[in-house]
Amino acid sequence: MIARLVPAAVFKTVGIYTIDPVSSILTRSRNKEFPVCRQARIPSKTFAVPEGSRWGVPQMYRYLITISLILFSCEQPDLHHTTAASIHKTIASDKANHAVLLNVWATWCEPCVTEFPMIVDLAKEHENDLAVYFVSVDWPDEEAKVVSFLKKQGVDWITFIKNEKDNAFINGIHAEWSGALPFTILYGKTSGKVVDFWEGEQSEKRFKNAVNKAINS
Amino acid sequence: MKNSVKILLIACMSFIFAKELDLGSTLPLGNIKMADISGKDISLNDAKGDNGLLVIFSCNTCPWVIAWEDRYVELAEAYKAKGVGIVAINSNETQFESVDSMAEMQIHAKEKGYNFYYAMDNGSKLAQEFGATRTPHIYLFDNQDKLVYRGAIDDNARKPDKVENSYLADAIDNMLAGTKINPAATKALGCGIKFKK
Repeated sequence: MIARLVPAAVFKTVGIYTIDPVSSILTRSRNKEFPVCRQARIPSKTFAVPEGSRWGVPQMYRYLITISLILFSCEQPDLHHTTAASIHKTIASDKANHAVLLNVWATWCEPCVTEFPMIVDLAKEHENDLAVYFVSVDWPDEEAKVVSFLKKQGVDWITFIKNEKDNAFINGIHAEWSGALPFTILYGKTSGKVVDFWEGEQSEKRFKNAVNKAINS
Repeated sequence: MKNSVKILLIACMSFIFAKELDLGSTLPLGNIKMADISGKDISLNDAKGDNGLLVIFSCNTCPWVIAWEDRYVELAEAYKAKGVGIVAINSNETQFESVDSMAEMQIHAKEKGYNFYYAMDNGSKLAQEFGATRTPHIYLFDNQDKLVYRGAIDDNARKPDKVENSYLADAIDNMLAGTKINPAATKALGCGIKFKK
């Protein structure tokens, strides 16, 4: 029903969507394995036009409002509270398909904020080979600030915010990380193993070398 | 072949971290003089108490320092009387002419009621020798100048009333009592020290 009523061109404009015909959950994806925005739940009634009835003004309003909601919801960062253990589970699920770059950052960390746009560009440049996960360690009551920053940076894919004590989180992410920010670690696309990691801000060249190495490992 | 060697070198260099001082190590660079907020030059040896020395790598602006530094003052109040010397070290060399200048350190210390030395680590020599990477980063030495604890102050920077593990205070108490310190090494998030490249 949805497919019949919403022109394909609209979907092409806003992204690639997968639709669950039972629940009417619409999900935008960059590719099949990498969901990039919140799921937009569309009540099936929204698009339900009885057989034989005409496409009237009320339906048109509903249609426009719904599309606006989809667009709006897809601009929101998909931020999840997390622990080191669940980050590793997410990474493990991606290892067979992509190299993985994990970057731990905070809005108050100047070097983190400086290198952030460059990492976003790398994510876009290597869309099919590289999954980039940002993990914010901002205070839990500053989530709105994190969301606002991610939105400004155009990060509309799944990201994380730490919800665990520092000592367990740091050791859980990598035993050799001291806790200084930013922290970046890369996993090989085929091997799934750590291929590089570092503390502190690094040059674009260093990032690009590490990303290429991860994609080819 | 040349490329392979280059890649290998890059790979090896990538994994190099400033290694933290090992537990049991002797206090390094004890005689190096540093400018203190008092206007005098002081060394770690000058800051030592009869029963030990607490070294805190810190700065003026890091949010984690701001969150924890009231506890610096409380620790100094509690343990200076018990013979533990305390010194905070600012190693943020790239900010010595701005937010981490001596003038700013003096203002900051006055505002926060610092009751301990607060000295400038020119060339970040101490930070490099200690393997300190972040602020705050804690190193505790006993009366034999041996490192007995390193890492975090406690497990809750933002909410002192929600602290479950007072790592540092427990370590000092155990050090003074001559009992085992456990854990002797912990980690906490912090701002990276601003080394000059």
